[in-house]
Amino acid sequence: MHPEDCAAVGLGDGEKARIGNAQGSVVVHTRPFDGLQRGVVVVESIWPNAAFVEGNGINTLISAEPGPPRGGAVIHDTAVWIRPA
Amino acid sequence: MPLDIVHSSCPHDCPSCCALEVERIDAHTIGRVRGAKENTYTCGVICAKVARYAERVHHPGRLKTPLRRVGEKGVGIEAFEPIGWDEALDEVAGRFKDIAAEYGSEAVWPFFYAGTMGFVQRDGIERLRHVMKYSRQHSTICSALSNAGWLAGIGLARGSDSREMANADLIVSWGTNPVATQVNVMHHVSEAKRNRGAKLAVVDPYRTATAEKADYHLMLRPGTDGALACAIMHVLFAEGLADREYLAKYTDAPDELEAHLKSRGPDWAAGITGLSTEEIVEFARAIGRTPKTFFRLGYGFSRSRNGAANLFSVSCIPAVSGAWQHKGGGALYSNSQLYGLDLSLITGLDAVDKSTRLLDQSRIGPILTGSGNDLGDGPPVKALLIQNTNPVMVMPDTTSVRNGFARDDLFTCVHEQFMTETAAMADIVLPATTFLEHEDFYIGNGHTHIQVVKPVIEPVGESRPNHDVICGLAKRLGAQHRGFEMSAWELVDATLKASGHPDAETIHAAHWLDCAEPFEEMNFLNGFPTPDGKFRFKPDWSSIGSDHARMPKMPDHHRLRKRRKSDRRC
Repeated sequence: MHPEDCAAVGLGDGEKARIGNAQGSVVVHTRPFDGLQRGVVVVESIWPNAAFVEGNGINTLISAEPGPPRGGAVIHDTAVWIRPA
Repeated sequence: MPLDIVHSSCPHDCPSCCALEVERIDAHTIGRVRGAKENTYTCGVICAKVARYAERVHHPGRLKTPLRRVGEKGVGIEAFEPIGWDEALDEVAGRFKDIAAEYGSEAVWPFFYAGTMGFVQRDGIERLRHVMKYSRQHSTICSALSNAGWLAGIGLARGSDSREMANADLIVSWGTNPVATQVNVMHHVSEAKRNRGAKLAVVDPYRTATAEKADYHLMLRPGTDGALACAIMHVLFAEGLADREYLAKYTDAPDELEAHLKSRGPDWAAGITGLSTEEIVEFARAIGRTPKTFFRLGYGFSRSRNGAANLFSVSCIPAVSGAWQHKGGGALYSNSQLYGLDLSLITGLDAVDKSTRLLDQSRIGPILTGSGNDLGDGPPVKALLIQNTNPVMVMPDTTSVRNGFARDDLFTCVHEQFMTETAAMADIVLPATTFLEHEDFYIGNGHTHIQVVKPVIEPVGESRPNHDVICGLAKRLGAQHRGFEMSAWELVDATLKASGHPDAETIHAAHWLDCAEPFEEMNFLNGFPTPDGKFRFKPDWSSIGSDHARMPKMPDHHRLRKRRKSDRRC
């Protein structure tokens, strides 16, 4: 997360953040990083569910809605809210 | 004694499909894995993961016998007890028969993806599905959006020879992070930098390890690539950098495109992408003034609701700049359709009944929980046969996926190398060989080689190849097809011959076959593989997918409204 976004929601380096949307929520560790725009959040790769703090992996937040014109997983198209966990 | 070095091919789902040299210590043991130096794409470079493949092949967690679950779902290996192969296959076939008899054959859903990219071991499950009329799989998890976007303009999943990157003056890595995911690209980029002083541009929403090495990093908001592409083309037209002669000869509607882009300039795109007007203009001018610009398009930026439109929009840029005409220039998304493969024997295409229900694999969560309209008038999915994928971890909407797998009335068989999260939910788990323990053939979609491989070592434990499991089930289910009577090697050989290639032994002996065509063919200078031979700025989306009405008429920043629940079928 952008350092200014981290500051805005009260998250410091290494602190636990809860990320969620209508699908559910997951807990990850925060890393302030200025190599992205404000408002953008990156959670890299797909790790086992068990590797996450609460046992729920990042795909919890991904919609199964198909993209047009013939389907496809919309993995990078995921709006979320964030707050300290 | 010198080490025995055996040729093989990486089986993983990656464009590089590396040519490998594997140290064979004895009939059961491998040592280091290296990239083949003589292969002109691999060039001796492979990723750290595959270099240390011995750690996977000989990992103590490898499954060594068939297993039956006797404890709770999701617990792991402790919840299973070893059983024999005949007992395991008899039970799976028996359950499939019973379920098909009670609910209809569509209640069984074979489910797979690209855990191996070898055609015999990956796609043979389709043959069983088709013969048995089990529910079909719409394979969407990786490339459905990106393929649609590329096919829209160009017509086939083909493009420039990736080795041409070494002759480029500007390489644009758009929506891909090759340092992490496709390291061979960086080798060819390095060649271009060293030999020609080439520049690297990266378009990615964050500063990846690839972006750190770039001369330009366009750090845009996710899902806004179409806007950036439009603004680049706007600048090319506005500043005399569009190749009008090329456009007239090779594209369908250049004048309409130019008019369409009038309102889509850098200021407009800056507001959408979050980039500055200046950096967009600078990037557009670099493309316009560098004839040898090579666009390497990745999958990452297609994984959005507007992803197909984004990939299509970016694919339009070299058709405006004319980069396709210049050696070292052009574009590559995938060369998977370069090889002209006829997979009908492996996949049992002659047995397909297209009236059989087609289920979207990315929607396995809603499908198993029955929360969408996916099942249509058909039965619920009551049985799964899973090879080469770990859906509990990788598929969208994990909560639904897990709830689905947890159903007491669902029978699941997983054929795997390890006790994955999905295997832990299965009733029967079968041990699978790795690519070093079975025969197959592979193509590189990021290069131009076919590779044919034989086992390097004996199967670990009692593990069996996918082909053996499919044939073992076919026999018990009474499935008739000549593909079930052939060995894996015979399938490789027959498929290569049916596709107009040399036989399996010939390619295996040579290690690989380079299928590159002359530059003029690779870069479509004899015409694009579309009905009229022209690149399409106005695609026929209806020929690509049934949900075409929501696609933009021309390259664009495409905003999609949220769909109603009732729309959710494809």
